[in-house]
Amino acid sequence: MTDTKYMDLFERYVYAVGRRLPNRMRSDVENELRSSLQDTLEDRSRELNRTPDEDLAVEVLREMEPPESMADRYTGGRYLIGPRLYPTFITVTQIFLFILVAVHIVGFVNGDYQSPGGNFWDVLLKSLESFTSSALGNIGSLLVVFAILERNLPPGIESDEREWDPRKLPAINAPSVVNMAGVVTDIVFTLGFLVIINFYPEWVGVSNFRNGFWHHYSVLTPEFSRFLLPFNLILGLKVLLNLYVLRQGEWQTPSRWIRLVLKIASIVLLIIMISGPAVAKIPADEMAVPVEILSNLDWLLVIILVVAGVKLLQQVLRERDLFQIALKR
Amino acid sequence: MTKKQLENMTLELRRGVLSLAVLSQLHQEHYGYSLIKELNEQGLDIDQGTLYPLLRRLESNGFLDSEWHVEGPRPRRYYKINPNGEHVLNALNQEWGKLINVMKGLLS
Repeated sequence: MTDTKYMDLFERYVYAVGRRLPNRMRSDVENELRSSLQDTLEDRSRELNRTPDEDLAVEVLREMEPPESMADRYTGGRYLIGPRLYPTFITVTQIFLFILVAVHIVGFVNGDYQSPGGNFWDVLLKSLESFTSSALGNIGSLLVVFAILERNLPPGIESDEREWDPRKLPAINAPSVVNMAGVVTDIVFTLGFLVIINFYPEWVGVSNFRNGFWHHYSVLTPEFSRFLLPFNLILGLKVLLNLYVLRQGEWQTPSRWIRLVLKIASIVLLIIMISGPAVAKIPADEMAVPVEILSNLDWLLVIILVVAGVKLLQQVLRERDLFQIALKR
Repeated sequence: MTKKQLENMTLELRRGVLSLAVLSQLHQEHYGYSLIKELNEQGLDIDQGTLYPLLRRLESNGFLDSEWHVEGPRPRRYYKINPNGEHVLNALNQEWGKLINVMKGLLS
């Protein structure tokens, strides 16, 4: 094994620990671990009068704890959301904040935060107040959901110390690696979304506190029901695929292709939804100023489409080996 | 008592004195691996998974200072005890002395 190859083994370990740590300490810990592993390998090689090779690198790594436990040591292991779920929690929170910002922009243009004087700064302040309280309340709920998941998820493969084999460390950003916690979270949220759009579509809307009362209005139009079947089909298949991958323990070529196809199908569906009559609209009587371009929420779908498109592109780049395999065949 | 239970109790017993041991060796600058070797040579086995997080905790508590030095083939992070750490070390040292006497009495 060449120098580069056993260094790669170390890099995979460092990466596996680092991705479970908060940003503030990640790069520092990674640098220190990397340096320490190299010191240990050099020292061991001198002591044993042996050239550094894969076996020696594996021995050195075996003396370390599995990445998950190592990350736990750094974080103290007393966190509400531990290193296993932390990356997923951050992703979900980012998506949630994006949606919340979009909803508040809608509310802002819709005049939900009008003040008696109609002063722009008062309106802006009210919007920010509403955003802050919604963000705090809902991120709190997300925390509770993740804390429950944290305590109830079965231990991952990596956390089983008896199974700790440095050779099995996932490659950095390897497309076949299953983020178990991420997949479980995806299933939970997708099922939740399916339940809402099928049984409680009126919940999809905007709530605000006006004139001493809470107001809620649904934004989905009857046109949305035309897309219920393809929505159920795509999301249902996504849940089944995730369950299958959880069972398999890795993303294999067929499952990766299906994942890609489902993402493309979602984008096509979004394009069809945008190009037809509005599927989401702010009711005219809720508008401070009934302006068609603001009431039609297609622009929100366009933002989602752009984000989905960028994510698809990233995935295609990350998984370009899929296409190489297909071309070779 | 199983072997595992005994190991856990021994680990707990050692864990309490590790901070004292580490602080005591950092009058002189050390990077993580050199400190492990130093402690091992003096009979205290400590693994990397225990030492590095402990060093970070001691530093974040304000008892150690650290600096990255680039020497030889790679950068290394060096740790050294600071005046605040010295103060804590002295206090812990006194406590340790008392504890030894108490335990000797209890175990005799």
